[in-house]
Amino acid sequence: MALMDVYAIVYTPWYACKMARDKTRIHPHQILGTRELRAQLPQILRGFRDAGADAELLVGGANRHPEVVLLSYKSYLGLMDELDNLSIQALYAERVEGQETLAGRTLEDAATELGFDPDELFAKPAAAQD
Amino acid sequence: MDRAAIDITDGAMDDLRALPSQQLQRVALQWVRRLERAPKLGPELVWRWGQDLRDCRKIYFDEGDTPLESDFVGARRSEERARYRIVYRLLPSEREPTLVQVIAVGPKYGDKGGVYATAAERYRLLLDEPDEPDERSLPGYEPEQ
Repeated sequence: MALMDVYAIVYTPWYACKMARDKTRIHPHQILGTRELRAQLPQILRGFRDAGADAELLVGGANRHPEVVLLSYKSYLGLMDELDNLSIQALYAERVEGQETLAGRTLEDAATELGFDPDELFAKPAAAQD
Repeated sequence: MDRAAIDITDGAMDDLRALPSQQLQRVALQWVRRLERAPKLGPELVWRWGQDLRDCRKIYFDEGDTPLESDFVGARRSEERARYRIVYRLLPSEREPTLVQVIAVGPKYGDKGGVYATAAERYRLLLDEPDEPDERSLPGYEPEQ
């Protein structure tokens, strides 16, 4: 069998399958052009919906330059929670260094100190009385 | 269950004073009041990004909260975008708490790291605090010659 016959029999179908598969696959961190983003938006949203917080982010932009990042809303919320816990402690270190006794006070004392009348502040709303 | 006592640390008191409105102070204090009867109301915190707050809990709050109304949802979800947090721990143990110690109060996000960074540092100091006072600070102490 000639080499070209092998090529035709093996490579051509493999390549056709690969291209078909690639058309439907959303590659994580692949930079999509604006046309692709428009065309694949329903598919992207479906992927985000299915994967939720586990969905990989997507990057897109004109001429495949990275300009925007798409991520699922659940991923976004998770990211915000992570940021929530980022440690930048310089200000606090300044505030506490050798100054705070870390000795406390009661809730009533705190309320009074802040100018509240504890009886009024902690009175339950009429409808919620036990 | 008996009411747990409340201990508001000096740092947390500073935080309360620093809240941008009296309404926020009011809401924060009212949330703490709820903790007297329900110390485990707030979700547990975890270790993240070098901040060890594993023995602490958090309460989400914002100006519109009415924590003393019995039908007000106890544990707000962060998705509701409440901007402020109360970080506290239970003593002597999570299992049978008799004291709610408020460690930090403030905005979740801040120029210098937000309430969790503050809480983590204070918590570390609390854990480092010696049980007994340094004898050198006691009246009448004379160093040995």
